[in-house]
Amino acid sequence: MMQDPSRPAEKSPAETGPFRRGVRKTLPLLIGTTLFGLGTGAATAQAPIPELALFAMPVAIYAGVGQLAFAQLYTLGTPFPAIAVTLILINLRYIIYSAIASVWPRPKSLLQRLLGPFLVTETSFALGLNEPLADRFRFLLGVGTALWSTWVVTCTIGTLLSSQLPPLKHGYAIPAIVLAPILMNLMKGRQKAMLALVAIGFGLLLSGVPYRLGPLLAGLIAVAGALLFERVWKAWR
Amino acid sequence: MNEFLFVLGAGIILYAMKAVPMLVARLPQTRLTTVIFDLLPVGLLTALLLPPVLLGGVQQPALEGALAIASVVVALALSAVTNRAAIGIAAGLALLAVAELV
Repeated sequence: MMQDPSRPAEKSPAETGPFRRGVRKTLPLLIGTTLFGLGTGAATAQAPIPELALFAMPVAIYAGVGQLAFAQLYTLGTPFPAIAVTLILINLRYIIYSAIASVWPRPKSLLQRLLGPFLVTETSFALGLNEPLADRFRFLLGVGTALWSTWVVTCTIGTLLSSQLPPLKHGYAIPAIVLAPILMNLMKGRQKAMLALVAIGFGLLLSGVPYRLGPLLAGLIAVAGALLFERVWKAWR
Repeated sequence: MNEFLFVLGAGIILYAMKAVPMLVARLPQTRLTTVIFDLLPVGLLTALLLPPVLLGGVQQPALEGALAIASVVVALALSAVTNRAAIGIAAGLALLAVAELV
């Protein structure tokens, strides 16, 4: 069959650069980011924060829960050091993601190296895990750029339209739906599926732990349990 | 102005939390750390994402809650079966939209 010469030949995934591949793989996830961004923007607009700071929030604090926590604590008149400590506690998982990503080969460009950590989120980190090790950092930059720019735009729209947007009753399900394909990829294999079930169980048990530390503890307990089980299983066999 | 500086300060703290381990830390590369780094994302992400859906769904009226939980189950199942992210996400969000409208 003759190829239409006016149309550029479509490149296979292996031929496209990691940055562009990252942007492309993020496109289906942007629906969820848009919904979550609109909701977060509308929610933070309820806090008595001056406009300049309000619009700077999605740009500087690139963490949805972090933004909501900041807005809530600010409304209550919490002093900044206490807000800062809370933000650190509820975002401790980023230290783990970043520590794991520290073994990914880094690009030569200083700007890209400095930008990488800023763009680390659940989505960019988890999507990066499916890429060849050498491509992961630049892939993360592609995913992160698409997500962050969408985040900033949708949060801003959400803030501007806060009085007209209906509140979402089931916003709690959006992150899980958006990250469902990534979760399924990560859970391949019996050991990881079992680990996921244990993590969900402990996540439910520890959901009341303050500062959103429950999921972090649940994840760590599940991994420790999996390692222990593997040892005992090997010794027993 | 103070609030703007607070936001900026919070952003710098968050950035430092990611940049220091990612760019400065040198983690030992042993068999154990490789296994831990392979398992940790699964444990952390499932514990972070799925329990809030179950807890949130249970706290809603029966039909709405069931639809919200089902939207995540459908997204997971379709993503696994079709191996296409867009299909799972679109189906999950469509079902969630139904839950919103109930």
